[in-house]
Amino acid sequence: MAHKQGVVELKSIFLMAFANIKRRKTQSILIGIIIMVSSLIFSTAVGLLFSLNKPFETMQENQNASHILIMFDNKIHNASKVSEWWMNNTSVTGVTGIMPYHSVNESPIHNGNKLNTMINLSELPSDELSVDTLYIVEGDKKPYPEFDEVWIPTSFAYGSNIKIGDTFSIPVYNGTRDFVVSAIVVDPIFSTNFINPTRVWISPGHLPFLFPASRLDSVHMGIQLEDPTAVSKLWAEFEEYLGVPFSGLRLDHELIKFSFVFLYLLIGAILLIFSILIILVTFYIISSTIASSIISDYKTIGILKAQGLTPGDLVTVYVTQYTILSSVFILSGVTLSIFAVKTILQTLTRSLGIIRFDLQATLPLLLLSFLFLFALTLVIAYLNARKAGKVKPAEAIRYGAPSKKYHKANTIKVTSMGKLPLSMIIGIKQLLSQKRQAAFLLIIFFLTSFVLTFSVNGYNSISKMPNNLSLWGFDESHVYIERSGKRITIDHNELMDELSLDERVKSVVPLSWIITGVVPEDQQNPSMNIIGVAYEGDMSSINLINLEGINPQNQDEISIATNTAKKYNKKIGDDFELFIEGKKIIFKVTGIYQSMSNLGQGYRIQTSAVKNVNPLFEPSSYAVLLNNPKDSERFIYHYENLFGEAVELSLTTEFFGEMFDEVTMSMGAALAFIAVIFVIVLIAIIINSTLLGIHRHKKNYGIYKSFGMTPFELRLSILYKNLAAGIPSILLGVPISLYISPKIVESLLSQMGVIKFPVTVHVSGTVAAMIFCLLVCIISTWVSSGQVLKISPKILVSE
Amino acid sequence: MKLIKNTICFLCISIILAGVLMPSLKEKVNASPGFNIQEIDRYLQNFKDNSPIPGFSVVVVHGDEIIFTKGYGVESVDTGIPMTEHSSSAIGSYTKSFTALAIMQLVESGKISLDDPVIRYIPWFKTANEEESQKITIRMLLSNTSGLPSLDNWFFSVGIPGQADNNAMEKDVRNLSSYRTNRTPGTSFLYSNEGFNVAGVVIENVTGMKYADYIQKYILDPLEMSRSTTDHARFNDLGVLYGHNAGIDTATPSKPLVTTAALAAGSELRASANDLGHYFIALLNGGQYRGKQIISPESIDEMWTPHISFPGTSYDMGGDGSDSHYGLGWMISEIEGRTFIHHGGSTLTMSSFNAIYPEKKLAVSFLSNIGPTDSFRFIEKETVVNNIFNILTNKPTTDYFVPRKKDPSVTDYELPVDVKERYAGTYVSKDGFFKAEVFIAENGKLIARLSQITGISEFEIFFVNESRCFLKNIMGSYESRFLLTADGQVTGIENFFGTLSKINEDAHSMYKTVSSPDGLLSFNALENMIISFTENGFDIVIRDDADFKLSVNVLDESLENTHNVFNETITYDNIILMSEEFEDIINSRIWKEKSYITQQDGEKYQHFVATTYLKNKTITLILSVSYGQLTNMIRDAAIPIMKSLEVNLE
Repeated sequence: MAHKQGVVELKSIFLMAFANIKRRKTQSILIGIIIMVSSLIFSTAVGLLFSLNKPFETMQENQNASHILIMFDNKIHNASKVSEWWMNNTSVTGVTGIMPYHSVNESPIHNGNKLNTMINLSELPSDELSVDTLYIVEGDKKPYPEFDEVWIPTSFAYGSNIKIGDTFSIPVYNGTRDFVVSAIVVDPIFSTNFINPTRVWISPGHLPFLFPASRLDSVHMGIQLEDPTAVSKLWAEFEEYLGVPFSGLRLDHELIKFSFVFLYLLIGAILLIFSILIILVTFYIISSTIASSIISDYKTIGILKAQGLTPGDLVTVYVTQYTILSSVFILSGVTLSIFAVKTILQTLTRSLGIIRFDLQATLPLLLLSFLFLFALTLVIAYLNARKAGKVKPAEAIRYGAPSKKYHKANTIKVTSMGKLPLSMIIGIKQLLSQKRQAAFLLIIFFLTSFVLTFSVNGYNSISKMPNNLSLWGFDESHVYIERSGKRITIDHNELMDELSLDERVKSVVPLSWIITGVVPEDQQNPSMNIIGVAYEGDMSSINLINLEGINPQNQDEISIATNTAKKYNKKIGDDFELFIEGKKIIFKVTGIYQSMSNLGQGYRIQTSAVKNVNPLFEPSSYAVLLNNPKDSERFIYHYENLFGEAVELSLTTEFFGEMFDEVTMSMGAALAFIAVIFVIVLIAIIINSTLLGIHRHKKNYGIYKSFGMTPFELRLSILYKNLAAGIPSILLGVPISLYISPKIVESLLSQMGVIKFPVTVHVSGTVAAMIFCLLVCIISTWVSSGQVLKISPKILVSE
Repeated sequence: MKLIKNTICFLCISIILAGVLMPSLKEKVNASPGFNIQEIDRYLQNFKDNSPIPGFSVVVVHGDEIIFTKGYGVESVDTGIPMTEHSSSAIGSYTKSFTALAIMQLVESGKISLDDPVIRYIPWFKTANEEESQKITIRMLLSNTSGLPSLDNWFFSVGIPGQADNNAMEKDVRNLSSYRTNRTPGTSFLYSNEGFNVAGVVIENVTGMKYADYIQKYILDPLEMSRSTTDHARFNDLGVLYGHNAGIDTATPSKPLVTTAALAAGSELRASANDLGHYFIALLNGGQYRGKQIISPESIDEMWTPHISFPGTSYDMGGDGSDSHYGLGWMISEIEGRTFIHHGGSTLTMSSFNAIYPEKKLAVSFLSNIGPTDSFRFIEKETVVNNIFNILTNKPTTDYFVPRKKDPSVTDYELPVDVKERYAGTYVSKDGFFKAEVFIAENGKLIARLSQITGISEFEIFFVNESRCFLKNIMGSYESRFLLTADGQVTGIENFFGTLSKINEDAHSMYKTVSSPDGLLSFNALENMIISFTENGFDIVIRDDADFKLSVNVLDESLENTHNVFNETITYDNIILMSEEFEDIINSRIWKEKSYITQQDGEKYQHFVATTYLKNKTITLILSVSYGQLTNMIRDAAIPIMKSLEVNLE
């Protein structure tokens, strides 16, 4: 009997929960959408971060990828001996064998366009590769390309729009040779655009048909290790065997992996940060919605309680209601996240040749995300629903609301707002009377404006990098001059004299790259070659800036890049030892600067420091800052005309124009995704809040109507209410976003050397984002406030 | 003028056949009134006594006559044959003035307009940025304002004179399709041999004649320049000189094997001083030579009109810092108050300086059988030519073009004795083209011996610090840099030829040196090679690789047969693919190479054939391997043999 009664009760609870959802259909759907998008963004971030390595690892596993790729000249190191050493090493699980290649100095040409990517023309062995096997994603499957055919790695092909059957022209010894693209392949090492030059494959034994025998000395080989982390130890043994430092290029697994995944890692991290924010908002919405429901259903709850429903039963009603909502919408969000992850990873998976990227391995994790969000939702629902259990039946039946709240509702003095329009007074009054709702609106407006500001300015900062170079560690000169004549040359002094007389020139700083600088080994680090720059004169005149300290001014001073400072644990005032041209120089650190170059490694010194060890040293490059950047083209023309081939001039922007195209595009997409999610949530919340407000205050609206207020004025009052919450939040969200969001990015980019993200504020974009927020508020409010039209003063009679 | 002061690396080498002697000609001195010819001779003799130049010839023209022409020193330090005014020498970039003249002739005949775009005459002409190359006009080519890069692919078609690729110049122009213009056409001065090559191809397309034939028929023949040619096939007949490589104190004869066929219209002309006198006479007389009008005065004016300016010789380097100008194939400079029309030229082993003083109707050519010399230590030919004008106009000689600044290679630094050993070793460029041996001489000095196509140049190394140094010989001081690790190990050297990496000799110790039983041949072979000597050479097979076959034949053949190897000697059945012929340099020898793919019984094979001419013998290397193995086997088996093969004739 008791069991039967329990079933009946359970059934009743379910029915009541369903009835609640049904009764507040719009509100339920809106909350559902919010739950869905928050779980979508959270699961996407989690899915992305945890499945990111999978496609790369799958590809590595499928194609038995090597962990080190070495490229060298057979004249310097005997290829057979090198290969033999690695093959006989017990820590090595496989090698590709020695593969001939030719490094093409000129850019290849596709469809008449010179491509920016340089290539290593590599012969594919006739025997199938056991390590670094190629996977043909497009084109006929065959062991190797036919004569005059070329196989192109995926990322290069997709990035340059190279298709099967296209003509791909490669500069060879006696001109240019046309090849037909017969396959697009996944190359385990080169299927990313972040490694340049890339390698393209031609038929085995083809190079002697393109180059004389004396040019066939370059070889490369892939080496697969049992333990990829043991590279350093093995390498030391290898160089000991060689007897001389290895003269060639080495690509390690970690760098290869980083090249493949870093962009997605960045996107995943940003999504995760914002997903946590949005989840907090969602829980706030749930808790406030339950609280509102309890207040608006106060009387009903009282009656139900009077009829014998226990507080536990009432809590269960709400919890069940959210169980139903969250199970449907969280599930939908998590399911959608699978597609989102797949979409975001599409470029990566496509370049890795993974057509059907299934997230099976990530499914348990996504299930865990689901359970985590589900459980959290229920806990929030439970904690808030407990208030329903505390409702006093008598008070509820009599007053229809908790007496305290009922009386506390109207605390604002209308007289203090006497001059304002009535609609506005009503709106503000309502906002202030519903502190929870108000706080809630404030938070979501704040977050949306925060996110939109972040998206607009984050994207703008990255895309405007060429205009903002000093903050990224570059100088801000407009023109670079290089004294580079083959036959006609001019002296340093001659050029400087000419530039000093030029009224267009604001400042000019001679400079020279120091490529031979070696930081000696210390207790933590082996000796390492770090590239730096020697400047002559006042570096700040071309806007070279430091994060800390000042630019070096004397020959014993140095400014070091952030990651160099970190690596060698150096601060301002510390000594810094550097070997230049074989001579040790002890510098005093005067500044620490941020630099995107060389993963944040580098240094700046005065040319006088180099002249001390090399009396012949003379700068050959010049950074020129003009008074008016618009003069740049004419300036270049003038000096090219004046000095002919003795100088080479270029616009600084040419160096950076296309540098971060892919990063800008991908980051733009990710930021747009986050912005869209937040806007959806904002819309849902405004509608939800408006409907709740109308429902809760329908009696008041009846009174206002009976006083003669038009529906338009009533809707206006609701709009004022939302705007009163929106405007200050938006105004607050923007500056806070501008302050905090760089810090988020900094934490993510520090590995690349960026510890102070240079925000380039897009004022009109930011203002547009603010206006957009307001428009969203106005439209969402106006549409949803249409409910007020259904309220009739008769409601007062029926009460 | 700086143009001449810098090394212009073009080769020009000719063959002097044994027993073929130059006609015995005495210097021509016409006693012109008012000119102190004896003083010129005295000055030049004094210059010769203080110069490391093995031999040079000079011609001086006034109006329509050669007033002085004579050779000094020897044609070659090996033969000791005296240098004369008829010795045919490489004039290097002075060739450009001949190309410009040829173009002006075609302009006069209405076949070309200077301001027409090049594509009108060479429809296929393009650079990688085609929209820019379409703007290039004939005038821009001749005034070095085309913006075309200066690739200096002079080794593009190295070859035995007479056998170099006759289409090399056109190939060089077609090769431009892989390169972008370096400047907007028509805007600034960018010296480009390729630009003149394009002009050469324009001449060929417009006239239907080969460039060399046109120059011969319409310029050299009318001017009776009988000891001049741009046709490398005639080099042997003319007994042209091939110059000298520079040593630390002396010069050594260059190898006689290279032409500059690939840069024909920019630097191929060989001429004698006397012949250049004829050229001057025409130019000084409104284009007329012995009643023949080869070009109009207006065209000469056009060529000598400044089209673009560029920095002249700076004060530090002995000039006055004023700008020079480029006309069409000629330069125009103001030197000590006189306007000179001039052009110089240089190859690695020969050089020239040629100047006209139109106001006084004077002209001087100076042809040297070595490249430029170290201007900090020796008087250079530009100063000599300027002083000849000074003498002719009764002015005192000057030091114009003699650097005023201190020789930067003279420093107080001494490399510590205990580290010198680290620098010793073999260094090679990536393409194998240059090789340097660095060693400690008996006197403790570090010496670099650089091998390249023309032979060996030797330098003493003067250090500035442990990395920076100057490679110094009679041609000049070249700033270089040894690449060092943090612990001072030397890994390579960067110099004017690019980066040369230090070879780890131990790494290549897997090769054994093999000699034939009769001692005639010796070479390096891999340990696992099975070698059997034959009547004419040897065959090699490798255990475990049935398809590998390598044979070397040494035949007592003439030079012509070497050329015919690919056409006649090598006959494969079932050839399905054949490469073009490459000219390659391995260990300072020129090899001609070709690769093949053949098919037999459904199986494909790859072959590599290389041939060279060594000590009057034709050596042919034939390598056959299974499909796909060719590159590896060329690297591991063929190249070590090509590098090390010696024919030991008693």
